[in-house]
Amino acid sequence: MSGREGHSPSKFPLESGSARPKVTAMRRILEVVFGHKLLLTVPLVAAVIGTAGFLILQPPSYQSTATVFVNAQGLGTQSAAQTQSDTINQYLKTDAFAVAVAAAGPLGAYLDSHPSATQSFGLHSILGESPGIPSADAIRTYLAAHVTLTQLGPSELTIAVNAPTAELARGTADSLLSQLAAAELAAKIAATQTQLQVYQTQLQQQSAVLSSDLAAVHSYLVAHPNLANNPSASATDPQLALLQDRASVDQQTYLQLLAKIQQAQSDLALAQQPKLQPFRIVDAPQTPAAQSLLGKQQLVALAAGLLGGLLAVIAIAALLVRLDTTVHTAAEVQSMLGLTAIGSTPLSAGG
Amino acid sequence: MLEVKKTTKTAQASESWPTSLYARPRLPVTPMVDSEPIVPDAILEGCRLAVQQLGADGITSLGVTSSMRGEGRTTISLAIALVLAEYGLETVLLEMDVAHPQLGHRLAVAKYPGLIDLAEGRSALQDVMRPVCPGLNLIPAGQFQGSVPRALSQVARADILSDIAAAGHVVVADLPPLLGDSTGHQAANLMADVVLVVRAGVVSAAGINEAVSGLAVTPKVIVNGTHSRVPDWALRLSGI
Repeated sequence: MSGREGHSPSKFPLESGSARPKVTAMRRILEVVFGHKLLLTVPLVAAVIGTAGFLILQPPSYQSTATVFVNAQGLGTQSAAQTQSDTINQYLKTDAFAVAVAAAGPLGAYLDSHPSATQSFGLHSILGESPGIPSADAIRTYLAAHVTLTQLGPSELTIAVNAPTAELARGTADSLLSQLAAAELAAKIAATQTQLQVYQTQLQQQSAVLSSDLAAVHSYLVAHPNLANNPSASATDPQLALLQDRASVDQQTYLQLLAKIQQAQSDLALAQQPKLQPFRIVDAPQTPAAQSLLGKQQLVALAAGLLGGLLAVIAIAALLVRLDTTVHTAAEVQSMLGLTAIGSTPLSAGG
Repeated sequence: MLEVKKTTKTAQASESWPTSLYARPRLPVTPMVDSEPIVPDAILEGCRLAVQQLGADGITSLGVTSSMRGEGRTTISLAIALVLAEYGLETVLLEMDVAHPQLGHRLAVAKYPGLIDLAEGRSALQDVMRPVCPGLNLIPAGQFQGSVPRALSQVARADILSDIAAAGHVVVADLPPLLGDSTGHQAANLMADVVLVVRAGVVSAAGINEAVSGLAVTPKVIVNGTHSRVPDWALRLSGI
C-alpha cells in the first residue's frame, strides 16, 4: 500500500498516541459500570425492598417526646446540652437506672408480659424458644434502643421514647424524666448527705462528752458543798475552774456541730428546690396520637439496608471491572492486543 | 442500480483531517434501500478516517473480518466499500461469507449468480457484478453447495481476486468470522490486507488474540460500538 506512508499519525484523531493511562483506566471503569446498570441496580433495589419489608414487619411504634432546658454549665468546650446528653447516655448504660425506669413506669409491666420484645434478634427468637422474664441487662438494652436524644441548641435537648403503644411511650418518657431527675439529685446531694451523717454522729459523741463534763462539775460541787454557797471560794477553786472550762469548750464544740448540721440540712433543702435542678422540663411528654414512621430502630435498619446494598453494588462493580478484559476504545487496542487501531465507529447492527 | 439519493452534504473534513481522502470531490451519492441509507452517516465517517489511516491509494484487496459473528463486520465492510467508491476507486464488494451471506439481501440485489458460480466457471465476471451505486459493485456469494473450505479453495485456485484487480477494481471482502472454524482464516489469508472489526465490550482480549493468531497478515483494527454509555455528568465528575 503505497499510500500508507504518506499520512501523519498526529492528525489522526485516535487516542492511542496521547492516551493518559489514568484517564483511560477511569474511563474503562465507568464504561463497565454504566454498561451493567441493570445488574448493578439489582442489589440496591433488593436492599431497599428487603429493608422496606423488614420495616413493614416491625411492630407499630409510637414516639413520645419531651424537651428539657439544661440549667447546668457544659464541661470544657462542650455545650450544656451536650454534657447533659452524655450524662443521660451514661445512665442509660447502667442496669440499675434502666430497671428503675421500668419499675417506675409501665415499661416493667409491659416487658414482663411481652418478654420476647427484648429478644427480637436473639437466639431464642430464631430457635422459636419462649424467653423468660427479661433480665436487667435485657431491659437496659431495650431502653437504650428506644430512647433517642437530640440537641436542639446549646441548652436544649429533646428526649424521645419509642414504644409499641402510645401509653407505653408516654409513661416510659415520664418515668425516664423522673428517674433522671432523681438520679441527678441523688448525685448532687450525695456528698452533703454523707457530711450530714458524719456531723450527726459527731454531735451524738459530743453530746455524750458534754453530759460527762456537766456530770463531773455537778459531782464536784456535791462533794464540796461550801463552794455552792460561796461564790468567791468557787471562783478561786482551781479544780472547779478546770472542770467548768472543759465543759465550756465541749459545749462550744457541740454548738458548732449543731450549726454545721443545720447548714447541711439547709443545703439539702436548697438543692431540692425545682429551680436548682440540673434541667427543667420545657415540654412534657405527651401521648402520641399517631404511629411514628421512622423511629431510631427504623432509621438504623434503613441506613443498614442502604449501606449493605451500596456495598454490594461496589463489590459487584469491582468484580465486573476486574473480570472485564474486553476492548472498549481504540486507545486500548495497542496496549491490550498489540495491534494497530485505525478507527472507531459507533454501534452498528451486527453482521 | 439501487435508488440514489442526491446529497447536499459536502465533505465535512475539519482542518485537522488529512486532505488526501478529500482531494477529489466525493461522489454525491448515498445508496438507499427502502428510503433508508444502507449505512448510517456516523459509521461512514468513522470508516473514512479508518481508510485515511490505512491509505486508500494502496489498497488492492481488503478483507473485513471479526472474531465472532455480530460484531458489525458486514456493515463495516459495506461502509469501507462505499468510502472507497466515494473516493473514486472502482470498488467491488465481495461476499466471501458464503455460509451466511447477508449483503445480497441487505442491498436488495439478486443473490446469484455470484462468487461461487464464478469460481466454478458457471458465470463470467461481468455477469456476477451487481451495481450498487456509482463506483461500487457487489459480487454476492452465489449458489453454494457443499463445504465452505472447498468453495474457498476453488476461489483461490480460480485466482478471482487477481482477475478483479486486473479489471481495475479494488476488492473489499466481507469475510467469515475467525473463531469457530477454519474458513475465516482461509478467506483472510487470500487478502492483501485485513481489517479486524472488534465490537467494544464483547470479546475478551484473549479471544481476539486467539482469533488473529495464524493470520498471514497482521490485521488493522476498527473498534465498533464505541458510543459511550457513560453519561456526561459522570464524565464531568470523574474529571475526564
